[in-house]
Amino acid sequence: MKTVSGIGLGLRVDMAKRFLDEQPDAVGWVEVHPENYIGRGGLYRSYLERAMERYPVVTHGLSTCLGNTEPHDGEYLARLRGFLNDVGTPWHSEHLCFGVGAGAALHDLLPLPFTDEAAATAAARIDEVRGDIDVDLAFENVSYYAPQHSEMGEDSGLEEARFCVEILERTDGKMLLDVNNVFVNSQNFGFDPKAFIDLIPPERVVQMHVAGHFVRDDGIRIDTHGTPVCEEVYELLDYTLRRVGAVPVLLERDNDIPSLEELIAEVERLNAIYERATAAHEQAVAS
Amino acid sequence: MKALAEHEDTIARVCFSAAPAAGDLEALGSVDRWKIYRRMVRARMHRVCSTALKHSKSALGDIRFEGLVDQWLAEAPPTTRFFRELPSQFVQWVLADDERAKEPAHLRDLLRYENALWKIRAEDDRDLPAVVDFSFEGVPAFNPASRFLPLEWGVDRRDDGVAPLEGALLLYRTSAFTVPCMRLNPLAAAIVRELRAAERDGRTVTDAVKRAAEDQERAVDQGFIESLSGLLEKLITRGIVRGCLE
Repeated sequence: MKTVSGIGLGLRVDMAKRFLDEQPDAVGWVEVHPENYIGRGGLYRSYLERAMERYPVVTHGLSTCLGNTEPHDGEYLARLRGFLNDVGTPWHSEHLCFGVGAGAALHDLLPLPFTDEAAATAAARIDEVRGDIDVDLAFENVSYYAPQHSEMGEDSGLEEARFCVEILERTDGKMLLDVNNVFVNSQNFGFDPKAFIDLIPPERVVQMHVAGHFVRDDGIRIDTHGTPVCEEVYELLDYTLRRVGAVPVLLERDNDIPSLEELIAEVERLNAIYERATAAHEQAVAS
Repeated sequence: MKALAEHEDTIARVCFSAAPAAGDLEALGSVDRWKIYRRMVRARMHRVCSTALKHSKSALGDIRFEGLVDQWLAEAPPTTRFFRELPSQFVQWVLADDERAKEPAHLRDLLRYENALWKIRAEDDRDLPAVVDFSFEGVPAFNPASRFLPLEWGVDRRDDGVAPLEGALLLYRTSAFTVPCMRLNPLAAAIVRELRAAERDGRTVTDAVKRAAEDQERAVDQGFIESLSGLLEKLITRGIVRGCLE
């Protein structure tokens, strides 16, 4: 199995041809969404096969939302397991959110309330998925835009972090820490993003995400993955890597995808932060 | 705070109903913020339908097309987890009721055609049954990345208006992942239709050809054999027919 380390890039059809033609060394691995490939042939499949020849592939699901109240579809999970085994992913991640309601698929990441019932439900869903796939499962914290009901302590803006920790403890689980989502939520709800990072047990983090987001005229930040990573998120990534250590970081870019040169320039900047911050972490651990 | 399952259903109602109920928005706790979610969820669905069905949208006009998508979301919101399948679910919903897309007259065929194009691009053509060389005594095997469309309108050609179609269309995916369209005259359409039926029912190519000739009231003469040979050569060299089942 190829080693997943450093900075990865999401494989998206809009950039895949040139990316796979040039196979830049700055990119250490790629992330794919299983839903884009399961049961699918054609161009997408050809891109995946080319990517697998050159890069380690890590999978990140979109539809097995871990807050759904109904049990997951076992038939789909069997197909997912086959796909994960085919691409040789070392772990798989899904989102800590709702993705369905009243039998309809929302195709977006809808926030969970930070309640005991939601934590118990998510723990049950995580156990279901873990029982059906052959690799570790990590959950990802999502961006949210509407205040959520909370039973996770006083209203300090950090209820989501406590909710994540609660689920990590209930499931003895792993986390994909989306640094951009932490920053977006901190701006939308007025808390210190570093305080959020500080609450997450570093040994539970297996991967991170960074991305760009959109700032509306009214100041609300929306996690679009459609702009370059902003300075504050670079800085928060540096802080997080110093605390967590060398776990792989993915640059997500799903909309308004720029030229490959621009994407690689972002990856190279992330590589520089990664090298510096993880070296500082190693030094701190050694001393 | 409502119980979690009710909370989840309330979110879905806010996102998909024609107009979100004030009570549902208030139950979620922040009316303006949940309207952001409603717009986000719906915008992605409108966008993928518009992308997949751009000529149908053009034929209907933006307002009617977007109105139909809104109606679909309210009456039969998507159930698939695969985002790429949304346009097909929308088309199925439109075609299920004659009243939903009456005009222009070719619209329903155009929806079928664009839906077929969209699906062929993604069709999985791995792990297929093994085949041997094509023979008249074998059972034909089509590439699943192809569609036979017996339509009333020639919706593949729209530049000078859409004209009635005699025969059928045959779409197929190439090795370069493009999806060309073959126009089939009535005889060729009958042959392809019978070949596909032969694959489904486990009958031979010879049987399919006889049925097509009978359907078209044609003798199997020199002209028929020349037409058949030309068609089969195209089907095989373009990868539409993979050969015959082992």
